[in-house]
Amino acid sequence: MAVTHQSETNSSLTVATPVLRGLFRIRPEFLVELDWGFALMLDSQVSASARPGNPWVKGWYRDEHGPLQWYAGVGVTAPLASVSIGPDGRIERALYNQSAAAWGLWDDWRWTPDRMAVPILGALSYTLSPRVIATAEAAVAPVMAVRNGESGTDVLAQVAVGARLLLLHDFWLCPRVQAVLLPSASVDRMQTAAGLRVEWTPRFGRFFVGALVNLDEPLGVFGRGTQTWGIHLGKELDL
Amino acid sequence: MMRTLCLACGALALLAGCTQGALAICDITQSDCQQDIYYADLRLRGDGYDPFAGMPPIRTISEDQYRTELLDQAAQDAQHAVPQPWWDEALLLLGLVPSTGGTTQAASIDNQVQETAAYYLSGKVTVIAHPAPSGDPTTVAFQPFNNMSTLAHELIHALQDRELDLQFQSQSTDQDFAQKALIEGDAALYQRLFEYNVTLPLGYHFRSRDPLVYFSTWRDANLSDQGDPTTNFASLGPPFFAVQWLVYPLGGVWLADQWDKGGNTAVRHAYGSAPQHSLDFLLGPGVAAPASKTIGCEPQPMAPAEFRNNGKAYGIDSFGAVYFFAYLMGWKVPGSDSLASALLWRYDLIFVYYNQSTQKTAVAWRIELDSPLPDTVLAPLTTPSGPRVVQDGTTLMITASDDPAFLATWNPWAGCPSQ
Repeated sequence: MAVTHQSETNSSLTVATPVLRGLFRIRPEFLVELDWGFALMLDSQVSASARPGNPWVKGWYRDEHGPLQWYAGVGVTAPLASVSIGPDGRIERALYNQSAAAWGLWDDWRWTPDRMAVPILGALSYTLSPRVIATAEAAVAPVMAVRNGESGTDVLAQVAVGARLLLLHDFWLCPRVQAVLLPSASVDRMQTAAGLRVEWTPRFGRFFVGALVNLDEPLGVFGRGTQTWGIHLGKELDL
Repeated sequence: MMRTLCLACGALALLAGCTQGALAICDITQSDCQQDIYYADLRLRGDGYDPFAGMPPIRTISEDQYRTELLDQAAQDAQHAVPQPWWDEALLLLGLVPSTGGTTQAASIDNQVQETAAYYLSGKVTVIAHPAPSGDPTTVAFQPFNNMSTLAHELIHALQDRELDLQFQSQSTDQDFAQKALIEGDAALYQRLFEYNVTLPLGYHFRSRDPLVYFSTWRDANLSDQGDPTTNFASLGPPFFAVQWLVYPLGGVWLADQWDKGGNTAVRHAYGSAPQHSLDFLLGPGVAAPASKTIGCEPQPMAPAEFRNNGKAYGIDSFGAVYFFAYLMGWKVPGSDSLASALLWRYDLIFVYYNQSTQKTAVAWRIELDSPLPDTVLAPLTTPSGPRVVQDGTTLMITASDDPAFLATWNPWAGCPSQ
């Protein structure tokens, strides 16, 4: 889950975006993942709003060669996220925009209203030593307009590099830098963000807490951006 | 390793604490300036960023090109417009528009070319490149600032276009005013907040940084028949057209009040509870909408058949309180009395009849009031050359025709007594 809070003159806004994920092993090298995010907002008018994100199903193939582990996958989203043009339109659009911003526009197709996407994914990790693991992720997705006055097909692409550094027993520090190539309509085509997580990996799952700061325009803390950041919390359990 | 963690956390906290200064004056024909303004709008609204929308296409054209486009558009409109001579005549009979010729349009287009810095239409923003101003130092100093302010307003419309239905179809002129007041008031509010974020030319400062004070002052000036002749009601043009400018200050007051009370959050929620009648905008924020009345009958069918279109009036509408205000101002009722009287409006219907063979028009306007108008208001309305105005209890009946013989015998509301 990512949480972002915006405090402005006379008002404030808190957006939480829980993402439910389930990973199922079909065969040792084949996995299926289901992923569905929800956008929840509580504002200073003590009004709550909730909207569904776009559910996403992914198929993964994985392999490893010595210290290198890699994953390749393809997925498709169902366009459940939508914005109604009317009195609630601004609230709904703000909710999706803020949800995407809390993740630095990473996996933006999860929150894009009235569009569906076919993301092609890849991830790898390289174990440098028992205490240091290098990671990288990338994806590219055609995103198609499906309704509500949206039109055209565009491409989103994203890449991230990071590391997992063992701090103490079961505690990992995970710095990460990510960049998202935005659609052609966007004023600035690149959104970069920096994140830092602390993970705890006891035998009964993986817990993490961290923060992500958007760096440059359009959402970043530098330049003319909207200065958005996100606090990320999560828990994964092996079932 | 703990030191690494602390350093990393500190760096992120520093990044999150970055702030931005005021915007510098820039030239809105330049893309960097346009982007600065767009991002400032996004920050002010606090709604985040939609990468699939981005900034709308912005084209820059010269004054001459703009004039040519306006003339072409006027010619096209004239060619495709369905003539409604009964409405033209009805508004003239009621004193809401003057009898004007073609020179007015030419003057209006010249005025529009001079006054327009930018406009938003069908998903695109057009910026008009004006020559550098000369003469009055204040005008010279402020033109780039005013241009930035106008572009900020138009870019808000582009953002609204993905949230609200800007192509709405209203049931009446009254409802049309209310919807436009919401849309323009919203854009005007953020335009004003944008202005507070721009560095003013040296030596100038804002008297107040409260948008509600700004819009209230603007509204009071526009509703007045006194004061500054460049901002009072008469300065806005003939009454029917003057009303159309009131959407900015009246909508601005309503939304600035919301913003004062609850910032962006309150403004977002305000769309859902926006007034549906111009009366509510005239009353102002914080005043409960009074119970409205209805008119359950049409004018008597005394109008001869040739005044009707398949048995119906040629035009039916509800003008609302703000056009009633304009009518009173048009007949020289003092501004304060006009406003007080317009606030008594509870409902109205206007029926327009037309004789195709003689091309004569008759209009019956019935206004239901909360309480009767005082004689001091009725007196200026009852002139020998103007419409016939009859008050029966809380019902005001205004009739007019360019067929005096017909008007002399016409009593449209005889079968529809006052409430």
